[in-house]
Amino acid sequence: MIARLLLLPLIGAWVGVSSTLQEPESTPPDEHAASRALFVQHCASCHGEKGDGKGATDLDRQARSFLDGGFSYGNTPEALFRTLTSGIPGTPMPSFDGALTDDQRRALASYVVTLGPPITHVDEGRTILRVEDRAVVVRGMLPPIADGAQDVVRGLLIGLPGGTTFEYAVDDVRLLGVRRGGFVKRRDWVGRGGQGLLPMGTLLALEPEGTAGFEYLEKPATRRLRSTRVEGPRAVLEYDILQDGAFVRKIVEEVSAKEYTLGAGYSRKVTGYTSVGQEIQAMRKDAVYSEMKVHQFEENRQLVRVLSVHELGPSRFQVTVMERKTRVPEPSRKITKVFTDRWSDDLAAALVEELVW
Amino acid sequence: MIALLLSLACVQGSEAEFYAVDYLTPPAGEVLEIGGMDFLSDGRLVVSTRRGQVWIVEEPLAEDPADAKFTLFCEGLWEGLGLDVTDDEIFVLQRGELSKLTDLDGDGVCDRIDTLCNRWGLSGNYHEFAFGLPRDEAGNFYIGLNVSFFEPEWWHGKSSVPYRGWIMRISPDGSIAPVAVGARSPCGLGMNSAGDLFYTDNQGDWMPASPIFHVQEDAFFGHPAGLDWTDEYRATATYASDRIPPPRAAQRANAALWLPYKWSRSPGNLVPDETGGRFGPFEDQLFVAELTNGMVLRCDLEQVRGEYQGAVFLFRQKIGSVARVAFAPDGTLFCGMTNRGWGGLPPADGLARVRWRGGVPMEMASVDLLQDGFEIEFTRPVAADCELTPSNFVLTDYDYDYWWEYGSPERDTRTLEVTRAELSADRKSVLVHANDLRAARCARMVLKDVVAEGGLPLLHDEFNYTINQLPEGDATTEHIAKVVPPPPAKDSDEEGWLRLTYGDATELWEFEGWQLCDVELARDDPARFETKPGVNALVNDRSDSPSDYVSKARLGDGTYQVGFLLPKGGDSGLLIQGTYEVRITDSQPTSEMDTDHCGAIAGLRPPLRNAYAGSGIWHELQVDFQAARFDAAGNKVENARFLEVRLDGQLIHENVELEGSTNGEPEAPLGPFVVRGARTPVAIGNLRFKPTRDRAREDRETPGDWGEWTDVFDGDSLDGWSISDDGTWEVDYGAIIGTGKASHLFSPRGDYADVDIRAEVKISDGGNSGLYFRVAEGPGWPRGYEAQINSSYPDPQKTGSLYSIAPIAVQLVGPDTWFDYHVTCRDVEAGTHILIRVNGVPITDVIDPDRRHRTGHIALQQHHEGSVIEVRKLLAREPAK
Repeated sequence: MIARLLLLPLIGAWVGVSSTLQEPESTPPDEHAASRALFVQHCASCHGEKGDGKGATDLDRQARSFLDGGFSYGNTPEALFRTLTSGIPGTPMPSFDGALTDDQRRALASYVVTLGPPITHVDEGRTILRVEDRAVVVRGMLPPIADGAQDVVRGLLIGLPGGTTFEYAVDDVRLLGVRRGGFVKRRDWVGRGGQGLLPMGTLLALEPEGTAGFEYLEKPATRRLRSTRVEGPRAVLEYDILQDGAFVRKIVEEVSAKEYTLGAGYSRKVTGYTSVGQEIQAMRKDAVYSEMKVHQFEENRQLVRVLSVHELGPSRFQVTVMERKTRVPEPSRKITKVFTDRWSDDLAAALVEELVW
Repeated sequence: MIALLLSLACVQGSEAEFYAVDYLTPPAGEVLEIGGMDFLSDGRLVVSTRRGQVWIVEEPLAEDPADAKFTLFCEGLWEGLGLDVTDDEIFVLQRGELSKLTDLDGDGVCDRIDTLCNRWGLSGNYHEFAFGLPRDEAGNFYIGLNVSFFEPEWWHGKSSVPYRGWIMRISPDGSIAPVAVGARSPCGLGMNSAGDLFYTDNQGDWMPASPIFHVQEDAFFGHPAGLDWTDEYRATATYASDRIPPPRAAQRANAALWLPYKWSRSPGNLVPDETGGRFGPFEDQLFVAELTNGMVLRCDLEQVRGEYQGAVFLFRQKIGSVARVAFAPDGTLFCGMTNRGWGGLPPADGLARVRWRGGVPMEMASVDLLQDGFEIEFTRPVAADCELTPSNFVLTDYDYDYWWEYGSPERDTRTLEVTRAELSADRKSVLVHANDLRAARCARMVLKDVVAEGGLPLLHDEFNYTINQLPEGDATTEHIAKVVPPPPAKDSDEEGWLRLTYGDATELWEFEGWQLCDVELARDDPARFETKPGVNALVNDRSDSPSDYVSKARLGDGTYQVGFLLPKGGDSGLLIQGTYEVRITDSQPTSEMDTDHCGAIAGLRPPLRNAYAGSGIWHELQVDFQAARFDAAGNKVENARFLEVRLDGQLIHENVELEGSTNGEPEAPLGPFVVRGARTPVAIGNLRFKPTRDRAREDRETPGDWGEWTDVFDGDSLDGWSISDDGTWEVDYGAIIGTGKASHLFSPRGDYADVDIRAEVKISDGGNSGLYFRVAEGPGWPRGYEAQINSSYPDPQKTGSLYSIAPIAVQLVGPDTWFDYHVTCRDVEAGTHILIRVNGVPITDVIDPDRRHRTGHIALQQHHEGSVIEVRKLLAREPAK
């Protein structure tokens, strides 16, 4: 049974990395002629027959020269369509909404770009970043990690060799999820920029609200990112914990991918410092997974282990083992997560044995 | 080698003779979209890109540009539109944070990224670029935060999170503070040789052309969006960006330079020439990146009355889409290019070098403003055989509109007479005198036929000088970008409508068994409603036999609108004029549509399409209606029509002629607005009516025998009018505008008795005013009748009220919305008859038996400071002789 389990979460495999150059889409000749006719009819009086901005109409500001490539709102097809639709109030550029159909405006938008210099070509294959033997940290906007979640405007991805990606919200430093598979596609490399990243791995662990690495504090706290650091295959986050706006702890968090008997998982090692160089012990008050199915404590004065299972979907469980060493003032606690398709108390016992720290 | 450089350069005429341009070869397969540049102490160049990469370039000054070697130092950043190297520490401004990049193990690759500061707002909008990154002597960083562009009106930049539209300072310890506000797209920041901070903005809304501003603490540069984050606006919970002209318009900082549109559409950063002469004869002048037009401009600023202003010249064209400029230690000007998504002159990306080739071009080295002209200093003596007279100088000037729309044309262009040209003894400078040089204008001078010794022509023959102030005389408070009229009222959703249930849902209606509440379908029985306290719906559940909901007003041609929500099996209807019914039923989308289908004309015709989405969902039904026409004898001569009926915006009937009533009620020119309530529970809301205006008919139907309309306000001036108390009444853009402290404005004539008055009126949010008639001039609250003007001021008497005699509580017209006020006042047997119509619909019709006021002025009220009343037409007519 264990052997079968092993096969399951290894969904890895890089997703479609390609570096082939893409040919710009070509327009069929008759369509081109139709667009040209529209241009001559509707645009040339101001922008000129050649699109050089030298039309017959006398304007208070010269029309843009498409030959030189300058556009007030941008030269993407969407931006040009928008300009054709709305016009630019305050300038002689009118709205063609109504005068031209959506399709005609789209055709014109595509045509006008062809008059100018070539626009920066972004090879889609190159927008896909991969992780080789060194961990990679990427900052950018993250799309909602689950239905009903929000964009994470300040997001951060840690990609580890082997195909595990950790997805964080930077504001308040929270782990949102863990993925296996490809790393990330930089959608912000096209158009005018500002678009979100597209993490490419399969989501294995999900914390839609995000989980702080150091949750159990006496008072509400906020977190502020201080740095990210890469050491070969390892990546480390450093952040401060603030209470009422004042520094209380520095946190060093290191995530790593794990292969357990049950399958692939990850661990999150969190160490707190009250001041530089002085480690402190994290206090764990309770296990807070509301979806918990198995809740097992083993206590031998020194070690507490908490197992929880979080059902991710049909035949998919997230098993969490939490350990705490009492009376020993050394790195606080360790959270280990494992993914499996089934669960039994026997397995729980086996897992606890396997995961002795 | 010079030949090689020349062959690589994109040369244009003689600029290339003096300044060579060549291009570094990017690493194979890479596209360098440059956003930041600086140099390490060993001469290596560091660049950040829009793709979130940082490259280190070895041998950036190699004779053969192909010898420059690129190494990827860091990737995974979110853009990098600013970069600084200080003490060999590399700082990069990302969209979301200012970071320090460190190579811990010396392998040439960044290992640690320290987040110095990330505390500024990002909403996720694509346009929220962060630009940088100059530092001052104390090590403070300066950044500019773009406003956001939301569709469809992208040209109206927004600041939905703090501090978009601001210039910010980040101290070395990471704390951040706002410096100045009013930026639009502050793509380029930089300091001059004196250490003063400047930024460039991109022309667009509130930026008539691309400016260069001197950034001073608390300055306001003109774009209002960011003002919402000032303490003042946070406290008021209103939006500065909604005000036209914006608050602080009169306190705007003057741009040190307005770059003419023909030269600049998207400026980037600027750098001073501190090369000690290694870049030519322009020591300490500023060089500005210009992206769209693909060139570098040169600026010569001076201080006049303590503020920067000066001249801009073309410098080196045809480089490519230059977003960033930086001087290398040897005096080479590096140009970083990018235009992805925006467009601009090719090349679209990469690195160019501009190198001085050693010769001195014939240029205007500097231009200084005189009280009546300019002193122009040349880089070389003017040729001995080249006599300069006024005809060598063509001088024009112009200003701009300061407005909400995209950029401004040059306005009010004048040609100024050049009266004298005095060449200095060394022939290197000339004093050009002109008539009527003015402050708050931009001057443009073109020099003709100016030649240096040896026949060298002037390389660039034109400068544009921004004259905020003249050196002497009284300083002006005017700006070059002049405040202009607010935009013409849009065909907004609000204008022309009467909100018949807004603010008081029942005042204008007759009914039994309805209540104002919030509503949803009962969970256990979707055929029933569950209500709770609220104001979002009118529901007919207060009686076992509720009535229809019937307007008191009798209405005619116009657009009728009602929101409705039905329970399962619900059955209601909209009865226009109480006689023509559009069915409101919980019909099934799959069933064959009949004349009881939701949207059907009762008994006559099913809707063109099913637009009803089901029970428990709010829908909006809108009927554009033309009433039946009758002759003088009361015989119908033309049938009524549904010109257009829409359900949730979908057209369900078009031009349907109604041969008669659908329910047997008699047809008439006017009738009530009725929603059925007797059949099943129904929830309705937002009942509105937009009358089709027919002023001639309105005049005919006005009681009394009246003469011709005449202007009380001529659209031009308040000559003859008098102002009480300490009031502020102005005419602007053809409208009377009352602001400031409480005051009244009295018409020139004070002998109006019977009078019919029409006005077009707009009142601000929270404002209060009134149209007085038969009023006596005097301080304080004057004596006379007052037709109230109040949309959202707390006084319960709203627009349509005859103040204190006939109050109206419903808020018929929203604030900031033009409406027609028509007030008729005449003595009749029973007293003084006063009829008040709003957008042509009679709202108040009373007789004052006491005849309180007999004759007097027509007057307008300014009720309190903060209120703004605008009246753009004011007409009156008196009884026909």
